[in-house]
Parts: sequence; structure tokens; C-alpha cells
Amino acid sequence: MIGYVVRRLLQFIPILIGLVTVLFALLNILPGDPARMMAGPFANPDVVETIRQEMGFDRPLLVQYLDNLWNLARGEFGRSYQSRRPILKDMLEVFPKTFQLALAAEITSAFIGIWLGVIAATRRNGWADRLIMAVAALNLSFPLFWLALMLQIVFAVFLRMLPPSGYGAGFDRFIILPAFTLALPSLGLLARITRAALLEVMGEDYIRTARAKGLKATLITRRHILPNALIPIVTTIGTDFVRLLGGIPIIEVIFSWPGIGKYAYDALVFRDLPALQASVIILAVSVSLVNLVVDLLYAFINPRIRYV
Amino acid sequence: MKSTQRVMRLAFLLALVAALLLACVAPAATTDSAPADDAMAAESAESEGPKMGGVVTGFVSSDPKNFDPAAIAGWDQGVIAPNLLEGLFRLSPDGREIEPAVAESFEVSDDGKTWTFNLRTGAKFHNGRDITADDFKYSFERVLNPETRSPKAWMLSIVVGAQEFQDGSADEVSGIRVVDAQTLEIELAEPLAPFKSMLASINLAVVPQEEVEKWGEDFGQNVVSAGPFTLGEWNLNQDVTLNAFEDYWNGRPYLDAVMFRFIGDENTRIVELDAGRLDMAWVPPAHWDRFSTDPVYKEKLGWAETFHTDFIAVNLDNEPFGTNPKLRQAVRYALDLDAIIASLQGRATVAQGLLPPGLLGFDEGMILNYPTNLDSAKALMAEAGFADGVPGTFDVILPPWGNLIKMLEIYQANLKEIGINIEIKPTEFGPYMEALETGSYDLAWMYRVTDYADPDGFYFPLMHSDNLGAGGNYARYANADVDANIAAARATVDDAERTTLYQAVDAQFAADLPYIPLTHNIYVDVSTPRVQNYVPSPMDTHMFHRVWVEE
Repeated sequence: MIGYVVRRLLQFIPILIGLVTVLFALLNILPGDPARMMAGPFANPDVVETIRQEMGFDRPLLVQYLDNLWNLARGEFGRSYQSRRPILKDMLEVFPKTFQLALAAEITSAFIGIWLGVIAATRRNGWADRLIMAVAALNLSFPLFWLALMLQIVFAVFLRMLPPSGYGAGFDRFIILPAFTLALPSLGLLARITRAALLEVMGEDYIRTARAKGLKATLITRRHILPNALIPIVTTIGTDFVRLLGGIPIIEVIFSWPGIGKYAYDALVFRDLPALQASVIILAVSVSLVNLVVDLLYAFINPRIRYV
Repeated sequence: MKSTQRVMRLAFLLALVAALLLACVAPAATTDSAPADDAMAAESAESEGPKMGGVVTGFVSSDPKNFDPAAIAGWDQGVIAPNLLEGLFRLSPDGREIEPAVAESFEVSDDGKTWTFNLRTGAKFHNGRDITADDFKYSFERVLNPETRSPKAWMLSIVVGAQEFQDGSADEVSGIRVVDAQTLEIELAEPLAPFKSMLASINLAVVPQEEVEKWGEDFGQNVVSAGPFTLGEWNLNQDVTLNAFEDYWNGRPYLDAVMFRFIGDENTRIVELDAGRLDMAWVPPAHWDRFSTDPVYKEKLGWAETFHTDFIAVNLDNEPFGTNPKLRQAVRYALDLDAIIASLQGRATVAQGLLPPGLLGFDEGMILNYPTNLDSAKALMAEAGFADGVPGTFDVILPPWGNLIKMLEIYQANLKEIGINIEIKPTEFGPYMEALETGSYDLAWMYRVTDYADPDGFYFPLMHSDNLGAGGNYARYANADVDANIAAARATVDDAERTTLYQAVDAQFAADLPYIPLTHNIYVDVSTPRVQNYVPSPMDTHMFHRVWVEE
């Protein structure tokens, strides 16, 4: 088990080197020039050239690439071209906020999604099942920005119950609207997956046996059906959490949430290589960690799965 | 059992319907009710004078990240920075005048080269220290120093000794001299009238050496200067608060603080305004009708005719547009600028030349006047030798900004009517600039905003042959008379004389039309009724020194 975890962690290294390389290549192939961005619109080319020299952008690409890799190997993310701030400091501020939002959204969607899925499965083809599945399909297809705006108008402008955007420390009022907006499409998906997984297990012989020996329906669901249906549900939660960790820039912009998605987007627009690459590295590591945790969870859910 | 379930379902269904109805009614309900109470507040406010205290919450679209005067080049930085940064001169709150700031008075020698500034006694840095002439010498040399990487070092390149300092052959700028603690002397290589406007730029604000050295690379996030507000709490990507500077030489601001929130989404800003958590917002097109007709908000609209001109640059080296002024005039006659302005909900004016209204030398009587007129356009086409239209298709390059493309489509349709086919080519900003600089284009949509409030900011880069090509004269326009007039206007401090010179340039511009003027932007924002005495400025700055709140 420990050997497995160590091997998985070591796999991160080539992945990261590959990522940094691709990113460096992309930023140099894509049109756009950080020196020009720093000089401002319609700046004199002499100004651009001076900045390019001072920043070392005039060096051969291979030298810039190796220099960049060497800095990263020493754990130095460098300073943002745009703010001249140390990037590590920025990361420590923006990443926890995205993590917090993703976690809140995932918890919301897991609780509601699984609960709805269970209701739908246990009342298969009934009125509740049809309604839940219809709503699940509907909210999967809502555009997020529209949903966000509607929630803002209803809860912030009309009811004045919640702030429409912004950030507050902790899991307070500010997180409710963005988390709920992010949770809605995931919980629809989760409800469908839960229902399907449950229905499959419900057809198994041991469930019929449990029924035949007269166990209460709720007990069968809790003790026998759910645990055996957990693997697809956990997988869905895992991949969905990874999606949310990406920061969903559009939701962060609409709700002015100061997370990593918006940060990385701004860095891309400015061709701010150090800031963009640090964001991508942090995200890649966290995505890999979540995947690892999900894989390890399988072993707990299903004791037949072992990692050596 | 069955019946209770049915009742539950019915209740659930009703709740769902009610929620939907609520959602539909919600926006209408707020527009009707909220401003009604606010109307009374606005009325009572007008009778009383300024009040001390209070906080106003404004916005910018993204985190400015850095307020080091030597590093500022972006829009979001420029909006906020004049509240923090100040140097020898400053812009008036409406942005149209240049006022003395730390310099109480100044004299220019007869040859126009030596400027002597008498500094105000009692002007202080935010850290409480008195500002002296040495501080200006330090600040200006810092901007010129290549290690600072300042994008605006060129503003000082005309100072005697700047070149030697920059290439390392001198360790100070010989033309910046400290006469005594309160007197600063700057010697220019040539007389330069717009130097005064440049000195009012936030990029040439004064900074204390001890703070710059203390913070090092982090100075931009901990800036100390001399403006009416000091830098307070700053939450990355979230908001920044500026606090009133008690010792500001012109009296502390009425407000205790201004908070700028970083809200990129224009609808979110309006929702925040409606929720009472934001005091001002740019008015997006979708909300124009509401704010311009609302009895309370229409009084709280802030208008600024910006120092901003949109135009089509023509590469004069290329046939046929570049070599045929009649063809360029025909283009201008064919463009339905009123339709463009209508599509912008009236938030623009027709540009009759390069200069936006409000700058020195702008004179409605003297400028070109080409009203949209297809007959004139067709007559000019015939005179130009293209009675049947211009064969071929011509690319118009432009930066890849979404709303621009829609406007260009209108121009495209206009030009088709006189037989000119253009193709709209959105181009990434880097390659776009390279095409302009190297001259590998036929037609380019372009805009220009001045870095300093002076007509020179338009004419010198765009029209003077010294700047041909990469220097900003992307049309590659060269006319000896125009060069002489622009140079003379740069070297003259007398406003009346400069006006005459610029009007001569205008007249030549109207005949040659190296750039086809389109529109000048009007910036419109709305503020809540509690905000008093706020005006947006044509230089895209929001000044809060004389703003107060009335609850």
C-alpha cells in the first residue's frame, strides 16, 4: 500500500516536467508577448525592447526553458510579470479559496445528489422518480452563467438574503450562491449515476434474499444496496471534484470569487508564464492527489480491491 | 397515506410555480420600489454642503496588482492610482485641467528649456515625511533607470543627461538639479510644452527612497506617495481599500475611505448595485434603458467624453487607399457613423478629426466635416478613378475584441454600397502591433488615448515624420509643413499660439486624411444616490478627493 502511494507520487515528476514543457512551448508559439503587455498598448518598440532585455526574453529559448526548469526544480516559482509579486504568495492566497468553493459545492452536490438518486431508485418509475430525473436532465443543460444571474437576482436583489458576489472568510454567506450554482449540474449527474448504480444492485439475488427474510426497506437500502453501489458514485464525485478544482473561471468571475481559475485566466491573457505555470502545477498536483485518494478509497469500499 | 402524499406533491408543485413566478417578477419589483425611497434622499442631499466621513465602494474590472508609478501601464491601475499617487502636477477632478500639486508654482526660462519648480512647504509623503526636491530627483532617475523597467521612461528622455544616465555613462541625470530643498530645476534638451501634462501623469509621481528600498520588489503592493489617499487593506483578486490621508496638502478627503472591488462581470456589478453593496457601476448596454429612464438614476449618471479616438489607419505606402486621398475621403463619406453611435446607445460622438473635444486646439469650426452622404462618396469615387468600385478585397486588421467586430460589420456594409470590399481580420494583439509597426497592412482599425492631456499626445506620434512606422506614425504620413507646425507647437508654451498651429495641422489632416476618424467614446457610469460630487474623467480616472456621501 505504502509502496503503491510512493510510486504514484513519483509518477507526478514526469507529468509535471511534461506539463511545464508543453506550457512553455505553447506560450512561445501562441501570438502575444509579455514585454508588450508590460509596456502597455501602442507603446514605442524601444520601450518594449528595453523591457524584453531586462526580463531576459531576448535570450535563446532553450536557455530560457532550462533556466525556468532549474528554478522550478529548486522550488522557486519566481515573480509574476504582471504584479512583480512572488507567485508562491499569490498561490497560497488563491488556491485555498478555490479549494474551499469546490469542497462546498461538492459536499452540497453529494448530499443532495445521492439523496435524490436514492429516492428515484427506490420509487422507480413512480411520480418522484420521473420528476427527479427530469429536473436532473434539465439542470445538466442549464448554462451556468444564466443560472448564476437568476440566483443573484432572486436571492440578492429581490429577497436580499445573500450577497450577490464577493468573498468572505470561512464557509459563510458569500459561498452559498457560487457553491450552489456549481453544485446544481453536478448533483443532477450524481442523482442519475446513483439511481443507475442502485437499480443494478437492487436486481441482485442477495437483495431479494434480504427482502424475502423480511428486512425493512430502509434498512436494505442503507445496509445492503448503498455500500455495494458506492464505487461508481465515488468515481463520479472524484471526477466532478477535479472539474471544480479547475476553478471554473466563469463562476469565479461572475461571483467575484478570488480563486485560482480567474488568476490563471488573467495570467494567460497577460502571457504571464511564471504565474500561469505555477497555477497549472498546483492544479495538476491537486488533481493527481484527488485521483490517488479516490483510488485508495476503492480499497476501503470494496475489500477485494488491493494495492501492492 | 395515499392522500397525504398527494397533498404533499401538490404543495411541492405549487411551491415550484411560486418560485418561478417570483423569479420573473423580481427585477421589475426592485426597480419600482428601491429608487422611490432613494429619491427623497437625493433631494435632501442637494441642499446641504459636503460632509466628512463615510465610505464609497467603487469598482475596477480586475486586480490592478501593482501601484508602483514606475510600473503602471494598465487601465485598472490608472483608474485608481491618481487617488494614491501625486507628483509636481495633478489633473483636476473632472480630468480636464492640469493643476499644481506638490509644485506650488513654476517658471519656464525664455528659451523654454529650463523649468524651475517651487515646491509647496508642508507637502508630505504618506509616511509623514516632508517632500523635498531630492525626492523628485530620486523618483525621476528611478523611472529612467533601465533596471526599473518602467514603460513610461520615455516621458523623461528629453531631459538633458537622460541618455547618458540610461546607458550607464553617468550616475546621475545632469539635467535634474536640486537647487535647494524646496526648489527643483529641470533642463530639457529642447523646449517641450506638453512636458507639463507629462509631469501630471501618475507615472511621474514622487516616491520616498527609504520606502522603495525598504520594500524592494514589493513596493508596488505597499506604495507610499503623496496623493489624497493612502493604500490600505488589499485582498488579492478581491478588493483594495484606500484611506483618507490626513496630511494631504490640499486638505484631507471628505471620505474616510474608498473601497474598489474587483468585479469583472458587468451584470454582477449591476446586481451588486441593486443589492446596495456597490456605489457605482459602468452602465452595460443591456441596462441602458433602465438607468437612463429611471427618475432617480438618470440624475446619477456620470458622463465623460473621453480623450479617446477610434479611427482607421491607412498604410500610405500601399495602393490604392494609401496613394489616393480622394478614395479615403470617399470612405469617410460612406461610413454611417450615426448608425454606429445609435448602436452604442448614443454613447459616442462622431470624430471630425484626431483630436477629441476638450483638448487644446479642438475647434468645431476648423475641422473636417464629412457628413454621411452616399452621393458625395460616389462622386469622390468617380473622381478618384474608381467609378465602378475598387477591384479586390482589402483586409482591415483589428485587435480580437468581440464588440468591435460587430461595428466593423456595419462599416463593411457601408463600404460595399460604394463598391469597396473589406474583410474583417481580428488579429492577436502582438501580431497586430507588428503589422502596424512594420507596415505590412492596408487598413487597420485603431484607437488612441493620450498618455497625457495634450493634443501633442495625438499629433506627435501619429502625424510627425520622426515617428514614421514603429514610433506611432503607422500611416507613414510625412508632410514638411505638418512636421514644422507640430514641432513649433511642442516648443511653444503660449496656448493661443499653439491653438493656431494645431488648427493648421488639422486643416492639412482634413485634406490628406491619413487616418479616417470614426468616433470618440463617451464613458457613462451610474452611482447610488448617496454619492455626491462624483464625476468620471475623460482620462479614465475616478477621483475621490472631493466626493462625499449623504445618507
